[in-house]
Formats: sequence, structure tokens, C-alpha cells
Amino acid sequence: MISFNLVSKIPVEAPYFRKLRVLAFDPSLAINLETAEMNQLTLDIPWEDLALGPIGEYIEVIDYDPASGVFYEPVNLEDSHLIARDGLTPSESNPQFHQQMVYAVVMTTIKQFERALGRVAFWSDRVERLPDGRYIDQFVRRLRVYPHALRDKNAYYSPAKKALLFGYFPITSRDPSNSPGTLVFTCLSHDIIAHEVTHALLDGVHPRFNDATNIDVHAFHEAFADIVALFQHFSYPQVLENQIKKTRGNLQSENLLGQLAQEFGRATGRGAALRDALGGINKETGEWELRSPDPFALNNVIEPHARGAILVAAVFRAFLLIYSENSADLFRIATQGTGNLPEGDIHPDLTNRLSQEAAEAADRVLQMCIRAIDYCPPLGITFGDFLRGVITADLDFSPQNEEYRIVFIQSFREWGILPKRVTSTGIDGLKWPSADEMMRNTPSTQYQDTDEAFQHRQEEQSQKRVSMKEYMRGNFLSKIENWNLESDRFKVWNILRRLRIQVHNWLKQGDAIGRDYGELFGLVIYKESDMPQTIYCDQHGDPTLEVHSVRPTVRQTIAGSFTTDIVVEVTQRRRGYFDPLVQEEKDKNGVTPGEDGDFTYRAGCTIIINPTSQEIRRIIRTPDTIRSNQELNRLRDFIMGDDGVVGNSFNAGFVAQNESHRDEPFYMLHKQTEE
Amino acid sequence: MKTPENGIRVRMYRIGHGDCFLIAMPRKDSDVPYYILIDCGYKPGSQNFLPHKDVKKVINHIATATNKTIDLVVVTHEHQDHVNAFWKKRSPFFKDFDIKEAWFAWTESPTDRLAKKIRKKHKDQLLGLVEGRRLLGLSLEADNPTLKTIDNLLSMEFGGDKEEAFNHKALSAAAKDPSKSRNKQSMKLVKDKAQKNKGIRYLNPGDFVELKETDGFGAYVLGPPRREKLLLDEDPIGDEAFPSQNGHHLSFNAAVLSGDNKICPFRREYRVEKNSAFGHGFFKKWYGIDKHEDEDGDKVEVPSNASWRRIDDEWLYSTENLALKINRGVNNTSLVLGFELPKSKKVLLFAADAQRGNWISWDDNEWKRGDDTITAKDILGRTVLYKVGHHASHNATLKGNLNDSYPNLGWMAQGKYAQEFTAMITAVNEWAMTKNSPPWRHPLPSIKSALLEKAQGRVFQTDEDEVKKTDNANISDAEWQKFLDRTDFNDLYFDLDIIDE
Repeated sequence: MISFNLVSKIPVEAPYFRKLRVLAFDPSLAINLETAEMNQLTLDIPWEDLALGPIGEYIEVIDYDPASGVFYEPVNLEDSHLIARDGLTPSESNPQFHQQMVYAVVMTTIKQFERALGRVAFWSDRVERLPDGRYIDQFVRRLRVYPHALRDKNAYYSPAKKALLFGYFPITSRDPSNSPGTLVFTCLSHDIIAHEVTHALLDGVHPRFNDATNIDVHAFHEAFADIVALFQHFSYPQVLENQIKKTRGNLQSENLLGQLAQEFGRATGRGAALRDALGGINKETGEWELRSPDPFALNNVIEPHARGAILVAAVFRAFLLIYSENSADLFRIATQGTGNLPEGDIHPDLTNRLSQEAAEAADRVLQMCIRAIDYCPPLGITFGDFLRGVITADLDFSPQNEEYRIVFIQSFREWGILPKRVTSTGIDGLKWPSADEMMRNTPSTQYQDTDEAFQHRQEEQSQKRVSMKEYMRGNFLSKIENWNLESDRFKVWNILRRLRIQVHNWLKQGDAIGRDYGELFGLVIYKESDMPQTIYCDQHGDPTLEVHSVRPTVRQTIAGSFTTDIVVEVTQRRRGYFDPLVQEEKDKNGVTPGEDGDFTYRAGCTIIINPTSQEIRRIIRTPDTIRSNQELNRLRDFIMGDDGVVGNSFNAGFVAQNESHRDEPFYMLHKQTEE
Repeated sequence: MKTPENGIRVRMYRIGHGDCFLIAMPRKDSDVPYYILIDCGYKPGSQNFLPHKDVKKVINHIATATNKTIDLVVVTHEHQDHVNAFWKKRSPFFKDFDIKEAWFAWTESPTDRLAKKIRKKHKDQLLGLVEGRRLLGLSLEADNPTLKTIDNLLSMEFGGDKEEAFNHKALSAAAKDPSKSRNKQSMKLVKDKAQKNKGIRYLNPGDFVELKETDGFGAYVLGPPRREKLLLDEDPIGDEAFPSQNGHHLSFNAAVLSGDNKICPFRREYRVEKNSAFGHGFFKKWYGIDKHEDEDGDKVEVPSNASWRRIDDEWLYSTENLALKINRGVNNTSLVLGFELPKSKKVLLFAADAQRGNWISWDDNEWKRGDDTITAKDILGRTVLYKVGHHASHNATLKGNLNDSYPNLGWMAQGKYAQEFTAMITAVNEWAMTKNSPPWRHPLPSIKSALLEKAQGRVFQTDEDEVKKTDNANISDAEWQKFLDRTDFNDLYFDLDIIDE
């Protein structure tokens, strides 16, 4: 008998990737001959050592099915047999394949984010109340994933549990696309997984980002999660080539790349995918139709998914414009300039080249969208803010190449998405201003804008800039340790946490300089005699500052090298009351200690700083400061549903619409209701 | 109750947060008016916010007004706040009344195939709902708002005339045997009385029913739709293939109803039973049981078995979804009627609790009247009285204008009919806002203000003692006075006369 000696003297490096098999869409495509082949996909997941679960650095898959009262055996992806065969074969009836698939798709999505943002991804902190009443932020290393948490047509991200919960449910109707009695597992839908983890990633970037303070906020979250799921389809060459072949390179015709959650959509009686960014079935003809941009579409839609669909359509259209521009030459070559493709299949070489163009354009569009999340106000995002974020982030990341920025503006304009308070929709008008631009354009309280004053003001301001910079360097930037973004995430988290304290000190301890910064950032840093008494203040009576986030973001210089900027988010809060008379009274006479209002009004800013040059490169403010009664009233009207009427429903307002009491913002948003 | 000269009288009883309307029409060849009663119910407790504070006074008043003989009772749908004042266990409210005829929606028909399926499904869902509520109650504090919401919705489905705590035994008995539910008892009382006079009718959308004992009055039936999708939820009922009586063996319902004998979607080899899972090192370390490892600690990283991440009861919150779904479904089975006055062709639109699904179906039908084809747009266009849908809540009055393709408020009261357009809202706002969590915004301010504007102030609301002309109303004081002359306001009811000439 041969005895195997399994220890080699030469160590072998860990591979770059672990190959794992998943479904490209969901199980429903595996039983259709046309789509079966491309529906099985092998993903390359960056290598990490895995425990049973799988449990890695970012996520932990814990398979508990409380409705059935059982746990499921965790898969061991380190098993040499599984490594050798690229993981388990796709199977609906093997829960371990479900575990493998959620792991693989979640990791793929996380990596998209890390690549775009140039930093490691974090989940939102757990805020723990200690027995002595203090609050501490705890580090959440891993997002938890429960693949079989619910028996419901629902899947959601729970910010309270830092977990993704996926449901499953039986199909009850009999029609050509459904078999009654079979189960639909939401954790086997690529799109649903990518969508949910995107919510979690976004929550990890901005903790207050999901507070519904205007009609766009929830819609934005839904749209953004859909955008990530959709554009991820294009990174799978097999899928892309299949669909390019099928549509003969015309991605404006019906195709799977523009659709989300086919099985779920059909199982919930839609007869089609849950969402389609390109078009839909015309009710009169029964035929699929491309949806053309409608600049008034936003006026009529309030429901978050329907409203979000407009943002998705706008981004998708930007992609299509780029793709048709970049593939025009290929079509010219293939048709000898006539533009008319011969009937039948297109040449495999053309399929291949078109796929490359589509993949490249899609990757760029997705990266632009993800990068934009660093360039958003800390709360209350609107679609218009998002456009400004996309444009500014791209300007900072790819200064030379304007083409993509232009198509975004074009497509958003065609869909009627325009930021408020901008006077031009050129790139220059849309980009967020720098501190210098803000200072130049903020009227001075001391001098009139006359010629004589101008000279003086210039000098005054440049003086001021120098002292502000010095102050920022001394109090904040010099404290930044050398962070290694590839190092242990817990270490990075600790560094960033300490930086939040530094930012606080920087803004708080500067007296006159602090006030200057406050004016610039739209913050109220020191107490003012006439300020509303409902603003949350510290023991000195100064308005509190909450530094939500300090994080690095990567930018490309004109010379082509990469540099790291710092993103800082600061907010302040004020008590709001449903009754305007109560508000007036409390604003004037103050509140009793420990009192919270009926709702909270927040204001603040995001600032992006270049630590090397000490320039404040971007300032992104909420519409007004914490003192603003107008904004507070607008928020009250929005919450109460008194700001008018949208679509064919009277606006019930957020309070009434949100029928649940639990602190689970995505639960009700994702449940499937009758509309 | 008398009819005015050349017209009819509509009486809105201030019964509580619920509906109760009495209409008097001139009878052919007789001085005794023809009486129609539309619904009779209220949310228990809401009556205490009204001047009379006693539902019995309303019933007694109806008895006097009609001499205990009602020609037609319309029961729009089976919800507590529409039916609970017909019946009670001891000495039912309507025990001594004679009911000549009763109308129900087709969904109540004992022979209609689709109706039977819907009721079966409703029953299955209710069983699951009651059981889910019980399980959720085991892990939540009694005053948990989710439980309160579910209890409130349950009381809508089962009825009763008191505010009471969740009684699992009674409700599950009622869910299993619907004849034990108090709503069903109310329905039965009306049916039995009408049956004696062979006067039960189940109405379908598209019907036009003449009131034979009157001189040309009749009613258009607009809803509920026969399109299942609009009626219930996203689940097509279609040809269901349920392997067991509790629905699919892997459904939510099956899980709550099967006790410890739960069925699981995967083969035995994959399962780790909950009872043995914590001997299993993996689940002990990564899920945990009881206290987690450093619950009192000050660690900066969360422990791997933190109790706040567990999901043992999370799935039971689907009960709340289910309750809301059932509730909306039943609201959409509302019988929606447009009563037509013969001379003026004015219409009184009684929308019951119709929500969006019911509304958008109205335009599916056309009505043949002699040589004329009447559309929903015509009917709404001639509406001079609108009984506002579902306490004027969100999604129960659609917004829009005349050119929109779906029925909406903008279609109502066109041309000369606009001059007397009046709306009636059955809501006790203070009760709705303070006794429910989250507050019920009945009426929704944006709907109320749209109605006030359209009706120039002619909006009646259960808990408001009078109506006021709106500030920017475009009518003279004389005209307003003429309107007031057609009304009567008191603690128990509001009257509105509508002249037919």
C-alpha cells in the first residue's frame, strides 16, 4: 500500500480566488432551455480562509429556519473536494448550496464597493447602551446572513440586527410560469441578494441616510440597490454574451440584463420580472415595449419602488447611450456602413466585441454610482443630489474623460431629474463647490460688495483661509495616523473612530475660526442669543455636533496618480413638534430636560478634505441649517402628509403609511402588497 | 322620518367611527316613505367621543323613524364598524325590526364559485392570523404596539360591540366555525329577516337595480370587482392546489398551525433540531442561547452569539402583514352603490370602504338603460352626495382630474351637479388619532381639504357639530343659506334633503 505523505516542504501561496458556483439569476431560469446554460455561473471570490457557515471576514451565514424550528448544517467550503469542484452544484433542495450562493453573491457585491471606493467596507456600528447609561459604538465585523429566516414574500436588511433576512414561500397559483406547490427561495435570487446587501453597505457608510425626510429618500435606497444588482449582471461574461447574442447587440430590446428577480416577480402574480429598467408589457397590445424617458414621470409617483424605478431608468439610459456610442463603430464595420445587420445570428466575434464594450460601459457606470455615495449630503438625499454626487465624484476620479458625465446629465434631464437650487445643468453648475468657491460667493457680513471693498475683501479672505488651514492642520490633520487600508478592519475602524473625536475638537475649539467654519459648512457651532431653544445643546449651551463619519476616499489626480481624501459628515439636530404652535412656544421658551420632540429635524454637511494640501475640496450642505424654520416646517408637512398630493393617491405621509411600529425600515418597504 | 317635498332625505347617524345611513324616498302610491338603511356599525369606544355616547339611542331612533320596518338593508361588507350594531348576544339590536329586502355584494353569495373560494381562503388566512397572534403574544409584552395593531384588525374581522383583549379560544373557535363570529351573527340576523320576505339579493358590478316600490329610483352597482387581483392581494386565487387544509404545508399558515410537528423544506440529513442545536458547537458559538457571552461587558467588538441578533420570533411578524392584507382585502369587497334620482338624475354615491383596487374597477362596466349606455364617468359626474370611502383614509379616495383614465374625485359632480356636491365622512377623528397606535389619520387632512374645496364647505363629519362655508368658497350667503335649509344637525344625526326636479 502506498502511504500518502500530505505535507510538502515547499509552502504553497494561497490562491487569489475561490471559485464558487451560483445561479446567475434565479432557479426559474434553470428550467428554461434557452436560459439554462448561462444561468449556471462560477464566480471568482477573493480568497479568504473560511470557517463552517461559511463564515469569513465580512459575513457569517447562519442558517436558522425558526418557522420550521430547525437549523441547517453549515457548509464547509474548505473541504478539498468542494474546492476542487468549485463548490456545490446548484440545487434548490440542498440548503448548503443556498449558503454557498448567498456567500458568493454578497462577497461579489462587497468587492464592487471596495473597488469603487478604494477602502475596506464596514457595516454600521452597533450602538450599545451600557449599564451606567453611557452609549458606546461597537464594531460589527461581520454582517449576519439568515438564508431561511421567514416564511414570507419578503427579504430585508435589518439595521438593528445587522443582518440580512431572506424569506421563502410556496407558489399557490397555476399558470405557465408557475408550478403550484413549489417553493420560491429569495436567497437563491442573485438580484435580491445583491439588492439587500447594498442596503447594508449603504447603512455602513451613512448611518442617518435612511431617515425619510423627503419623498426621494426611500426611493433612492431602493433604486440604488437595484442599480447595483442590475449592473452586476454585466460583469458575468457568460450572461452578457448570451444576451448580446439573443438581442443581436441591441440592448434596447427586451433582455434579462435589465430585469430583476424574474422568479419572484412571476410568483407574486406579475407575470414578469419584479422590475424591468428598460420597459414593460403594454397592457393593450400585450407586447413588451421600451419605456421612453418622461420628464414628468416623477410628478406622479410617490411609492418608493415606483419612484426609484425612474432613477434606475435614468441611470440605465445613461449606460445605453454610452454603449450605443461606443459600439457604433463595430456596427459600422459589421454592416459595411449600412447600419443594417443581416438576418440571423450575429458573428461570434461581434458578440464578443460588443460584450466587451457593454461590460466596460456598465462597469464604469456602476463605479460612478457607487463613488457618488461619498459625495452626498449626510441625510435627506434627493435624486438631484445624487446626480450632483455622480458628476462631482467622477470629476474627481476621472478628470479628463467627460463623456460619461455628459450622458448622465443628458439622461437625467430627459427623465426630469434635476437638482434644486442650481442655475445651470452644465458640469460646472452641478459639481459641489469647494471651500474657496463657497467663500468667494458667500456675501460678507462686514463689507458691501463694492469695488473698493473687493480688494480689501480679497486680502481679508486669503488671510482667513491661511489661518483656517493652519488651524485645521494643527488640530485635526496632523493627528491622522498612517492608515493602511489593507490592514485588519478592526484596526482601521479604531483609527477612524479616534478621528471622529479629532474632527469634533477641530470644529469646537476654534472660537472665531470655528465660527468661520460653521458659516462655511452650514453648522451652528456656538450658542446664538436668538437661536431656537429646541436645538439639542451640550452643557455649555452650544449646539451639539455629531460627527457621523470620517473616512478615506480615493481620487485620481490629473497626473493619473491616486490620492486619498478624507470625507467628514457632521450633523446637528433639533426637536420638532407636530403642532406648529407648540413648536413656536418651545422654540422660544425651551424644553424640559430630557425631552424629545415628536420628530427630529437634522441638518449638517459632508465635507471632503485633501489632507496634503489642507484644501477643503467639496462642501455638501443640507438645504439649510438647524436654525431654519422653513426646513423644519417642510419636514413636518412631509411627515404628516400635508405637503400635497402625488399621483392618484392622496399623500398619507410617512407616519400613516408606515403601518408597522418596529424599527425595521426595510421590512415594510420590501413586503409585497397589492399595488 | 318624512321625505321632503319633491325629494329624498339622507340621514347620517352619528353612531361612532363607523357607518349608519338611513334614506327616505317617496313610495309609489303611499305616504309612507320607502326606507333604506345602509350599514349599522361602529368601532367600540369611539361613541364615547360623541355627544350621545350611546349606540342604543341611535338604534331606538331608527326604530321610531321607520316604525321598525325597513324596506331595504344594504350591508356593504363584513367589518365590525359596518355591522356590529345589528346584533348582540343578549337582545340583538334589530331583533324587533322587519326587513323586507337585503342587499349584499356577490362575494357573500352562497352559490357563486369565486365567492366560495374567496371565503375559503379568507377562513384559512384567519386561522393562521389568530394562531400567529397567539405565538407572537408569547414573546412580546402585552402592550406591544404590534400586538395592539393585530388585535384591532382582528376585531374588525370578528366583530363585537366592546373593546376587549385578545381571547385566543373564542377567536380560534370563530375562525374555525365562522358562525361563531359576531360579524357573522350580524350578517345572519339581516339575512334571516330578509329571507322571511324572500328578499335577499347578491349584486354584481354592472347591475342596475330598480327600486320597484318607488317611482323610478334605482341603484347602479359599481363594486366590488370580480377581478380577483384587485379584490384581494397579489396572490391570484386561480386554481389552487393546496395539499393540506391549512394551505400549503410549507406556508406561513402551516407553520403557525402545526404546533411542534413542523414540516421543513429540506431533507432530514441537513437538519439540526432546535433542541439539540446548542450541543452543536457551531450554533452555540455563532447563534447562542440565553445570555450572550459578554452581555455586561464593555467590549468594542460585538460578540459572535449576541442575543440581539437572534431571529427566533422575527418570522411571526408576518402576522401583522397578514392582518393588514386581510383587512384591505375585505375593504375591497365593499358593495359600492350609486342611487339615482329619477327626474334630476342626481346620484348618491355610497363608496363604503372601497380602496384603490375597488375604485379602479368601476370603469370596467357599462350600464344599459333603455337606449342609453351609462359609464362610470357619467355616474360619478352626476354625483351630488359622496359617502367618502373608508373614513376618508389614504387610498380610499383617488385623486385625479376629469381627464384621467381611472375613476377619481375629479370625475365627480360635473356641470350643474357641482353646485350641490356634498360629502359625508364617517370618522371620529379624536378617537382615531388617540386610541390607535400608530394613529389612524381619519380623515386624512389632504383628502379632507380636497373635499372641502370641491364641496365649498359642504362636508359632514361624524364628530363635527356643524358645517362651515370655506373661506374662499365661491357661493353667495343666500345660496349657502339655501343649503343649510336643506339640512338638520343634532346630537344624534345629520339630515340632508336632496330635491329631485
